[in-house]
Amino acid sequence: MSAADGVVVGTTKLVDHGPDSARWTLVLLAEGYQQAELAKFHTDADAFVTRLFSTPPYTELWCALNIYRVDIASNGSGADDPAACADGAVGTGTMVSTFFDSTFCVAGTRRLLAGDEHLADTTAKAAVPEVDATVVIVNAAEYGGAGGLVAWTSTNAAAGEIAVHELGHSAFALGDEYGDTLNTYAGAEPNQPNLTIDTSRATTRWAGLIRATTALPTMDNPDCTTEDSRPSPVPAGTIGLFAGGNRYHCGLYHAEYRCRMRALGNPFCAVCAGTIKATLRTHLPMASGPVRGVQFTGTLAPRQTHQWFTHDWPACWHVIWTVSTTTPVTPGPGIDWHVRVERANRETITYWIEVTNLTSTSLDVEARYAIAARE
Amino acid sequence: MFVGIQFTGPVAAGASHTWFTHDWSPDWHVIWTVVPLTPVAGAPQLDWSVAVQRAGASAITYWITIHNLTSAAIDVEARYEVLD
Amino acid sequence: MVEQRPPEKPIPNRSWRLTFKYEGDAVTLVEQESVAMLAPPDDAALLERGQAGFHVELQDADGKPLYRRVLHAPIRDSYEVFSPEPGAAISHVPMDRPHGFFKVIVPDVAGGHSVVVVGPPSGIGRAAAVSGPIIRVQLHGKPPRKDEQR
Repeated sequence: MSAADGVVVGTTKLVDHGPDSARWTLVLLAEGYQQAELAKFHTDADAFVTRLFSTPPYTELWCALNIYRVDIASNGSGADDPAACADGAVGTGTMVSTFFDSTFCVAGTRRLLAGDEHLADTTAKAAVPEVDATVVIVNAAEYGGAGGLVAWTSTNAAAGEIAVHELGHSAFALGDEYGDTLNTYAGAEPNQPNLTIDTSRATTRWAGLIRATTALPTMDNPDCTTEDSRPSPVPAGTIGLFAGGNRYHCGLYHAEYRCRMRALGNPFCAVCAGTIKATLRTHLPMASGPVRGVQFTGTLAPRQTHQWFTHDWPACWHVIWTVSTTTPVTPGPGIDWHVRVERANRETITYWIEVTNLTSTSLDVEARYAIAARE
Repeated sequence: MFVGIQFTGPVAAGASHTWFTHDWSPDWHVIWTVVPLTPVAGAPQLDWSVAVQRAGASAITYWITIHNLTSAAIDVEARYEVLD
Repeated sequence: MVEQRPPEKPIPNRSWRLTFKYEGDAVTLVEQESVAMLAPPDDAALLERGQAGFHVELQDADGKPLYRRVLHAPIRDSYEVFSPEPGAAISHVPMDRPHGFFKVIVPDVAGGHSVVVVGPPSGIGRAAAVSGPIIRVQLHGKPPRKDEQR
């Protein structure tokens, strides 16, 4: 099973916020979709994009991203599903010929779903040379996924969280915030932004985010041979020092009781979110132009108020509106105007511009835009 | 000229929320625009107003009040455009 | 407080992307590319504070770091295993033999000469071990380092 078991069909830009050389560019690859199933891949890829847009801080840094999908038609559908796995799980025994040769039961663990990561990486780079990160969507309903050079996720509704967690590692260097088999960390301060050994209020890594009333450590682990399953002693969202990190139960601390880098199904904590933002922020659209123009003109009767709307403006553009009257009026002001904004969908904005004629004569007006950033 | 996002945050249904941002240079020509982050099609979701405070000889504070015009909470993003 | 000010120096949008392969402790360069993209931000502040873990450095001909970026476990000896239940514990299973690929992206800046990947030696609990150079790559078209010239 290999690249001989499929063909790259084409590449589509799903989220276009400008040149790839400036944006943080994510590529979604199809795995285990036959030609006739590529429409399903389109739906599955859209679902992942929607998931990412709904995941803070990606939501607020959305304009920093470009996203592509690469259609790859595999000879077979799904992923290899070994009949027996070392962890005791039972599969169907079906083996399929797919482009990336993905399989469940990697390293004897059924939920580990992965394939040829090097081929996935080179395929992504061939399709989109400026790729920053790659997610492979495997056409399999069963829960599974993995990390590494690329992130792997099945189409199971809960599996997309795997890819979001793994992007936290590969793209933003976030460390794991849990312990599993290691007891007490005795090393030096880690270089990762979301972990620390420093419990001093004055010098700990995210000292500026910790309230003076929050105890430090906020939650230490009384038994370093196991994960601490007690409830949090502080309200949700409290930033402090909570034991656990880099697979150690003790000796390393993370910032909040709940974080996606500790367990899936949680939001990113403030420190992890801040780290992601710091990287994505450099990819936001810069100032350009400004590009100026007149969007519409109209006539207002005496004392009339009228609202216009103009739609399908890219949400990432910085658009400044002004309204002027082209009818000479003396003395005193002629018009007043007001702008309201609608996020019609993930990518476009509708501007509602209300103009009031303040005079007792008809006036002609024109609405002008100035686009201060486009890409 | 440079642009950016100054803050994001939620505004409750039908409510207004004021943010302030301080220590801006009085020499800068700063324009503020606001957009919703929560997609809801069909009608305007927000508008905003800006009040300005000369906090010191070399510092301006902008007070940005954002009004949610809908019956559901929305997330908003305040952007600055500095023209010089 | 203003979050963004005009950049003090232009951010280059050309970078070097290097892909590496590892088999056990052996790390080799697979590919080096010049790409029109932004490198991630420099992590000098993180590394001044803590050095345990992996990072990549772009160095000049004298070995002075021009750019540094933290890396999370580019060389893995285990897989993360997840659960579909929200909040469930994450665990690891060991690889039979550590193997895989990783890549780094460093900015293409004047004076950039070599790329060095730094990290702890292999073994359980490697996160706590002292880091050192794992592999050094001289960028294409660059003369040998001054301390390497004969």
